[in-house]
Parts: sequence; C-alpha cells; structure tokens
Amino acid sequence: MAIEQGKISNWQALLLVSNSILASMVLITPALLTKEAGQDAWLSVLIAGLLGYLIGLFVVSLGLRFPEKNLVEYSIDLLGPWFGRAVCIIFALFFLHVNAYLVRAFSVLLITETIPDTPFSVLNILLVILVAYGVYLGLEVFSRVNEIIFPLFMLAGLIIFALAAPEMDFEQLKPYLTHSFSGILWGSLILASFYAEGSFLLMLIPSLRNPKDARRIVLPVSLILLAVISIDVVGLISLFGAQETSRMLFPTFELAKTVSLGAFVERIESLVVGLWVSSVSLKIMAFYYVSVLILAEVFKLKDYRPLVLPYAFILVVLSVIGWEDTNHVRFYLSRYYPLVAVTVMTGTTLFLYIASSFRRNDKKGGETQ
Amino acid sequence: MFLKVLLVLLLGAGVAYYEVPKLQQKRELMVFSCFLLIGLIMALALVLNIPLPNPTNAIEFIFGPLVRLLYPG
Repeated sequence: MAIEQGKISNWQALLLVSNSILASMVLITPALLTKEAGQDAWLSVLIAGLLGYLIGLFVVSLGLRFPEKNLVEYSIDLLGPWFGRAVCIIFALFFLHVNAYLVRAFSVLLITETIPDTPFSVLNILLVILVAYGVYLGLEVFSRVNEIIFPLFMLAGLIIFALAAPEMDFEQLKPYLTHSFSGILWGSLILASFYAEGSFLLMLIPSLRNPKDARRIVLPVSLILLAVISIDVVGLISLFGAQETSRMLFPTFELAKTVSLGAFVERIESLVVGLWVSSVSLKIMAFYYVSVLILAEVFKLKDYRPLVLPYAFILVVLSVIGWEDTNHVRFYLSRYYPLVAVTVMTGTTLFLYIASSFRRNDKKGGETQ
Repeated sequence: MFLKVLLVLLLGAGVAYYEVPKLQQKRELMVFSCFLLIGLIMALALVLNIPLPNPTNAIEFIFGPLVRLLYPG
C-alpha cells in the first residue's frame, strides 16, 4: 500500500521535475562549465542535453514497468527485503546529501550577494523550517505552488536576458573548439549530474494521475532544460567572456546586476534572489519529500509526516558541517558531485532495470502479470 | 553555549510533544524516536563544537581515486 494518497497531474509533474533540475543548475553550473570548457561550454550543454534525455527515458521506462508501485515497493519485490531496502536507503541518503548542499548554496548566495553580516546557520535553519512546512503539507500542495512559481521564474529570467541582450557581444564565443575534448566532456558530466537528480521521479510515478503517460513528460522537460541552460551559458559567455564567467560564484546573478533600462529600471537582482529562493526551496521540498517518503516506506510507516521534523535537524547539521567554506562547496560540485550523482543515480536505476528484466523473463513461462 | 543547548533540547521536546500523540503503532514510535535521537545528537554535537563525521569527506575519500583518474588536467 502506498503512503501518498494525493495525485498530481502530468503537467504538474512536468513543471515539478523541470524546476527541481533547473533551480540550482541555472545559477551554479555556468561558472563550473566555463572553467572546464571555456567558450566551448555550449557544446557541453548540447552533449549533456542528449545525455539527460537518455537518462530521463531510461528512468521513466524503469518506472513504467511498475506504474502502480513506487521505487521501494518494486525494489523489495525484485531484490528481496534486505537488499532492496539497502538500495532505497542509498537513494534516500543521496537526496539528503543533495539537500544539504542545496541549503548551503542558498545561504552562500544570500550571504555573498545580499545580507553579508548574517551567520549562515541562521539562513539554513530558516530555509529548512520553510521547506519542512511545505513537505508537511504534502505533495499536492507544493506541486501546485510550483505550478505558479516556475512559469514566473522562467518569465523573469527571459525578461532579464532580453534586457541584457544589447550588451552582449557574440564574438566572445570565438574561437570555436579550442578546448580539449575531455574538458568539454567533463563539463557535460557536471550538467548530466543535475539531470540525473531527476530520478526522483521514480517515487512520483504512482502518484501521477496518468502514470501510463509519464513517458510524454521526458521530452518537454529536456527541451525546457536545454533551452534555458543554453541561453544562460551563451548569454553569460557573450556578456562577460568565458574567463570572467568562470571566476564568478553565481554568474547568472551578476548578469541581472548589469541590467539597466533607461535610468530607472536598475538593481533587479533582488527580483532574481526572491524568485530563486522560492524556486530552490521548491526544489529542496521535492527532494526532502522523496527522501522522507523513501525512509517511511522502508521502515513500513503508515505516514511519512512523523519523520519530517527529525529529518530537519539532520539536514541543518549536515548543511553546516558538510563543507568548510564556499570554495569547498564549489570544489565538491565541480570535481566529486558529477561522478557521485551519475554513478549513484544511473547505477541504481540500471541495476533495478536489469533485475526487472530477469524477473520478466522468469514470469513469461509461468504466471502472467 | 548553555542557551543553545537548551534551545536544541526545547526544540526536540517540542517536536516530540507535537508528533508522539499521533503515533499509534509501536513501530512508528520506535522509528520516530530513533530519527529524533540521531538529529538531536548531531545538533548537540554541532552546538558543543564536538567534531562529527563528515559525509562529504567520506564521499571524497570513496570517489577520490575515480576523480583523479578521470578529471582532465
């Protein structure tokens, strides 16, 4: 029996997955990408878009083998009660760690850009309280909020890039293909790790109103992500140049600072901060929810809500102790995180996929399912 | 220091006071208390400046050889 009784429409799921991948990607990755691939970062974006589409198709086709069941239920069916639970706990702990870095990235942004004198643990605690409240209200509630926030986020981003466009110099994208191909590939691996976070959809497929149509959300999600991140990267490189972009902490935010229309539309970066805070808290809500739901299913609870508040303590502590300083966060994200996310997420998905294929062959002879 | 410890304990007590009456099964109570205990121990260790095992270091240790092998340059 599934814990979550709420249902979300496929459109809400589409927006939720897009937001959950995009919220941190759009602000963090351009600097890391241009460090690895310089002005050829757009090629990394294209390769990663293709990789992300494949990862998405793969994840959804695993989920569609068991459209009525969630990750925990079928991994227990496939791998047995102990090993199946162990795989699910890896998933939950991975999302716990992702949440910890997201909370940290949130406070890093606010401290470096807007409120430099606040201790970051205060911001971490405030954000986690907000997120825990959202998770407590349930999947339906934050998917509906996301349905409002995400289009606004996109619209604001589009307006800001349109206003910054006159300053851009597309000559900065030349010379083409001067960076080593391994650097470009590493750049696309960084992006692919963010795409791999989309595997949290595995827990949501049984909560969709039409689980059978889940495959249809993969292409729109990958196109939205590809469009946004390529506009972002190309715009940043042509505005600041690859060298300068790679030295910034949050280049997209710096871009918003440069916008001025006439003499009165200025300092719209606070708008970006506001929207980014809401969109990243929705991202953390989705991962928090998935992680808590997996833990509740693993321990056979009737509801996931008792675990929400204890989890908040762990999350705050991990976000504070996990990284020494901002540089460590950045170093972790550019070196370790891509491999961790890609191996853990696609590895476990692949493993379950192979196991389910074996199961299917077994079933063909005997009972039909 | 004392105030912070008191605050953490009060928060923990508040969470327990809010959640425990809703839990009927023994299993739910057990899992909830385990999680709350882990969370409180971690928070107290953080407040009292006791070094905690850092999961990021563990990940960097496990994936270190792979990163050194694959990272370009």
